[in-house]
Amino acid sequence: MNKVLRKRMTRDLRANAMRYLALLLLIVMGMYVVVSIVGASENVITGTKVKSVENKTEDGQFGVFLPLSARQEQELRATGITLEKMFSMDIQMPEDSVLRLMQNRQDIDLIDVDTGRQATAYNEVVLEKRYSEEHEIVPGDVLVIAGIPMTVVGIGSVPDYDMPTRTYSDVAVESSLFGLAFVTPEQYVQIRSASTGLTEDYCYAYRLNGKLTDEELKDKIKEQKFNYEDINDPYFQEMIAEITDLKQELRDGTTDLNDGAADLYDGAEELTDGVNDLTDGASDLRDGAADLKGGARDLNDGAGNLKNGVMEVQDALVELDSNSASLTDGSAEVKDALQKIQSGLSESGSISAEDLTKLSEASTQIKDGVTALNAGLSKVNEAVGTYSQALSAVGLTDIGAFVTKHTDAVSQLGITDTMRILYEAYQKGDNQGFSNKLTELAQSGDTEAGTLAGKVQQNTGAATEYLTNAGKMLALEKLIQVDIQYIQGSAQLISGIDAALDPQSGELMIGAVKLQAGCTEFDAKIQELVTGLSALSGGMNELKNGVNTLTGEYTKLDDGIHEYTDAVYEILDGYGELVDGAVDLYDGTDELYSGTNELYDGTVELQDGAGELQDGTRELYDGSAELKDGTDELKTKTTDVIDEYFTIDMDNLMSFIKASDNPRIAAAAGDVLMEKQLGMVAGVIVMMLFTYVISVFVIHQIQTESSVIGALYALGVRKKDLLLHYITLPTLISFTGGLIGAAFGFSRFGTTYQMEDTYAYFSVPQYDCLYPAYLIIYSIVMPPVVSALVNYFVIRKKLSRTALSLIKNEQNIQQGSGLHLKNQNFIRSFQIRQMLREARTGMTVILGMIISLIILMLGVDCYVLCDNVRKEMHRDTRYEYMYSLKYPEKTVPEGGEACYSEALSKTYLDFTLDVTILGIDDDNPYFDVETVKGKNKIITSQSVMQKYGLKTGDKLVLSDIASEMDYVFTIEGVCEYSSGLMVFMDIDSMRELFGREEDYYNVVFSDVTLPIAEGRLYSVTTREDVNRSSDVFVKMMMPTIVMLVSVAVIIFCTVMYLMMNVMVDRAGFGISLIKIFGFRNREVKKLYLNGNMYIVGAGAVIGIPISKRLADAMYPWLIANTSCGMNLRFPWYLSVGIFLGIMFVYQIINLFLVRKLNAVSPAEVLKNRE
Amino acid sequence: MYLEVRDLQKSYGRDASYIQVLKGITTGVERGQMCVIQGTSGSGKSTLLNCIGGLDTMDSGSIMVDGMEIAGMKPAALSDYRRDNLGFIFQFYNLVPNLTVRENVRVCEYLSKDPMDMGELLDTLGLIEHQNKFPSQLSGGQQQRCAIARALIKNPKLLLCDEPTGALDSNTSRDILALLERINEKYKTTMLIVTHNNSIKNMVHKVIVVKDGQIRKEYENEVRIPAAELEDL
Repeated sequence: MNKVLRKRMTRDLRANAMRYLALLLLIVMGMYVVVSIVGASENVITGTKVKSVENKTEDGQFGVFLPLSARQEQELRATGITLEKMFSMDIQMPEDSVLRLMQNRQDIDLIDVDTGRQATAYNEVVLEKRYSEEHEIVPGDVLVIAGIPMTVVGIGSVPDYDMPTRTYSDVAVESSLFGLAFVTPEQYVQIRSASTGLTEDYCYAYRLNGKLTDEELKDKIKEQKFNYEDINDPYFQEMIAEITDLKQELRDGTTDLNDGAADLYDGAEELTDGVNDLTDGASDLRDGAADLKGGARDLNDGAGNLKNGVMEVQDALVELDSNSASLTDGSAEVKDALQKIQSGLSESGSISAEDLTKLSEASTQIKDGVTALNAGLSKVNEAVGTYSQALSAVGLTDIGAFVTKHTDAVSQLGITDTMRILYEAYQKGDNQGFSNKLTELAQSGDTEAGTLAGKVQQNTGAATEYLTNAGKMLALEKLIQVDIQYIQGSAQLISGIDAALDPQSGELMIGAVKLQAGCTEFDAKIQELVTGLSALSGGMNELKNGVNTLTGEYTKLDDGIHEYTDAVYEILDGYGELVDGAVDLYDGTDELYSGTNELYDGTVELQDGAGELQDGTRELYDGSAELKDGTDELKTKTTDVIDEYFTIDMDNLMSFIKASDNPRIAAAAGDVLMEKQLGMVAGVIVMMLFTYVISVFVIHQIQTESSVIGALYALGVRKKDLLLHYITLPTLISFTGGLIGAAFGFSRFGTTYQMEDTYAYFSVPQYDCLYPAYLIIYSIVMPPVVSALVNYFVIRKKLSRTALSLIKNEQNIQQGSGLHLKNQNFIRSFQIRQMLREARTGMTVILGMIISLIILMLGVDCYVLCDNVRKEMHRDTRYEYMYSLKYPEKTVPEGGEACYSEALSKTYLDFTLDVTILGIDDDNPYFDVETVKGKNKIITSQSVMQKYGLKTGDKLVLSDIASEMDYVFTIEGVCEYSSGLMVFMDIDSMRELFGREEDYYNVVFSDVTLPIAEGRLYSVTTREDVNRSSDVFVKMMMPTIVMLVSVAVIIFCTVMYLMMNVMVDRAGFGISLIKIFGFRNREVKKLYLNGNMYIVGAGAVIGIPISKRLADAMYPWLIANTSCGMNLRFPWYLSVGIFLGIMFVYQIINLFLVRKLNAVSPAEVLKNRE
Repeated sequence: MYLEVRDLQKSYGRDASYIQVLKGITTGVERGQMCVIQGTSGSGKSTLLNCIGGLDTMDSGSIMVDGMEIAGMKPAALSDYRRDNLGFIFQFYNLVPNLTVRENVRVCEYLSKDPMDMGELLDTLGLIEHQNKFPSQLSGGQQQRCAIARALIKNPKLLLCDEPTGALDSNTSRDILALLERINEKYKTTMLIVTHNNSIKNMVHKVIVVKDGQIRKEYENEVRIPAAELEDL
């Protein structure tokens, strides 16, 4: 039976040749991709290991300031390690390139000569291969190196420059600008001796031979004797000098600090005493102010009384003055009447009665006026008495005592000359005047000024407080002095009034009494006169004489009256001033009282403040005592630290790098690791795809042959025989596909083609083509095994039906049978039914599409990533020059922007990469980054965020491997920067974090060439360098990209064709049937194929984003060893382009399917039945 | 003559495997006639039907349908010929399994510019209540009714039936034949029925007996027995 079935198998193969061929192609392509990519990677990785052994790759290398002495070298070799000099000189060559001249190697990092031979004689040179390729140099060419014509005798490579970059930190290889040249040791010495302008780099390579660890060797080198003064490098010596200066500055600073602390302690002690005094003084001042306040209150009350008394005196004087006026007027009238009488007597010798009446009334008026005047004088006298009593009541009886008391009060205010001088200086020149005067006085030895200056230094508010108090006290003093003067003046005035109004001795009073007596007598005489005149009718002559006499007398009286009234007026006038003085006095005492109140409050506050000050000063004293102790200790310890760290007891070791940390060594192997992983992943995807496709074929075949299988079952054929039969062919196809794919992959079109990009970038020897067992198993054994397994499970399920069920070819209830399409037009409903019928196949098409799209996306992502890196590096590199400095100058060169860079490490997915921290100023023009102050706050570049899947607010832990320290940073924000793995910090915070000086920098960016001496530099990177190196990525990855995209397209086309073909095959009966009914080919196509367009379209719409996401998700693993971000975004039109590409491919495949459709015969239906 | 076949020859294979299936068949059928082509297995009756239906090519001879020669027609023209003139009924129904009864009928309704009324036809054939069922949910007789409905919906002038009762039991066969009879009477459809059943010849207008690729007997029934009365189906 099996034999018969096997025959059938070959017939089946022939009958479905195209289908199996396509399937074969699918497997071949898949395995070709896997083998070529993985094989090439394996060749490089294994080749590197093999060559590493053959060429004795170093375990590490170290640079020294001065070459080791023969004895030192011997010491190291005595440990069992192998040591070799790798001294070099960089020689400028034409076209701006640099050749690093080295001598032939003996024991380590041997030169692997591809063509030609090693240099064995003078004027022979071996060139590094990539430099030779770039400059099209072949053996036999002559190059002028360091002025010496040399013949190129060989082209090769060395393992320590696998990635031939000039410095460790170069991001990309640029072999047109840098290469290596190897000459004999003798030639090397000759060139070194002859070329004074060349700087020699002292580097040693070592192989540990299992005798030491790297760290042990490092320690041994450090232990070796070394005198830094022997180093000729002027910049190095400058750095040493700076360190020495710094050490001395630190010593001086510490001493100053210690002295200052001692002074502070002393000052605090004095201050404490002063403050104690101040507290006591403040207490006294408060008591004095309280007394003063009481006195001022009394004084104010007395002044009030005084004012009232004075006012009363004034009223009396006004009245007196008024009466005096009446008296004067009366006297004038008397005088007038007398004159008239006298005139009348002279003229007519008679007196009129009217005149006599007037005379009588006037005389009476005078008498009354004089009486009133006397009464007024008495009143004035009385008021002055009251005033005197008032003065007595407030204690002003004794003006001398008053003056003494007030003078004492002023002295109690504690106003010092210093205070006057300082306040005056303040009034003239504000704070500055005060400050200058204070300094001047303090310097001149004024104790008060000295103390105050100390307080002001401690607390700037002390000056304000001092000046406020001084102002108040000086104003108070002035007020008291005015009061004293006033009291003294008013006392004198009162005394004068008293004297004038004294009844016994007062002239005014005596005059007034006399005047009254005279008036009384005069009035009596007038009255007698009037009586006599009335009685007498004659005797005019006598009368005339009498009148004349009287008139003469009266003139004298009138003069006396005038003198008197003038005196009253003068008194009144003088008294007005007294009244004003009394009012002012009252106001003044009122202010004085208010002032003393404020003064009292002030002294209370002063006392409280003095108390607080006392407490504070006590604390200050205690603190300064502790500080003094602390600074004593600090000084001791600082001195120890300075001695420890600033002892220029340095070692000779300039750099030490293990091979595993050296980016130049085994770089190609590291680079292809990503491709190897990519290939393995692609292989798994392809295997999944073709096994699924095969399973669809098998299911279709079983369905087609259901009745045959049922019949065979019925005839007794066993299930396992059928199982074996249906599995065998796909397994054989898979095996054959894997075999051909592997063969093709291992051929020059596979691994060799893939390795071209490695050879075009890295300086590596020709690697042997390897046939790793795992890859052979993966490519040849795995496809048939996977195919057999998958098909076993699928077929077993299908063959589990009963023989009768198979014979009848019973169909399950149609998928979507519940779907009613009454309202759809015929074509549409037919297409829907057809799609539902072929849902499984349709799903396979979509799955195949997604899988091939994943491969396509891996390629597209690779391109997009490299292209984005290129674009972003172009965009983000705004500087023209980046100077990395070994020995930075103190001053940043003009036109340069100083930054501070530190490289820390982060391990992610088992790969450790450098993350650069760049400290920048806010106004740095080359980076559009707003940094945040703080020692753990960073702004992260997009590349770091993408690479490590971070977001704002996350913590980023970076490690300093050398010091075994971890730094935890908080991400404060993200910036648009994607060149390398970079994070940004505020430069000051960064200096603080890493313990650098406040003006430290080690990188300078600029737009112009800066005059920085070569000896200070690690490297100079130009924008052109960066741009050129960024362009390399796309170029380097292009073969892989092309391969992935091509393979994806082929796989996609194959899968789609195969699946569509299956669809048509499955629909063959229906197609035949409707052809019988008279459907035209165009209509048949519409019914059976056009529906697929929707499946493919929908599949593409779903598949493109899904495959993109899946490919994106794989990339972190694929590029875990690459120092770049992961910007896999591509423009929307690329998605549209892929969609259109899919539809285009579908249309092409459709053309083939239409031909197949047209070939279906209507008679088919007569042979088979569904 | 609606259908006229002249000297029709058809062979398969070459050399040793050469076999001549039809050896100069000449016959004809009038419009509206029901005609049975009868013969044993391998006699060539189905090949004759296929050639008339344009499903198979002929080596030589002529087939005229309603005055139209189909010999030498290109596939596209043959499609149009079938589309405009023919209806097919097969022994195994050949319904499209993933279409419902109604949808199966609509396949052919789509082809006609003047189709019959779907509801009326389904009612006539007793399929109204089954119109939304899939073929796998129907009995053999119901499936054949559906196939008849599908063939008739476009109102064909010539109905070609290849063993229409071959897969049915006798009662169902009788029903189907009675149905064809009614249709012939109602729509005057010319019918060509290939069968090896001996009873069916009694219900039709004309009988053609084929043997070894040649017509052995050809006659018209003077008296037709109604399908419902047929025995030994």
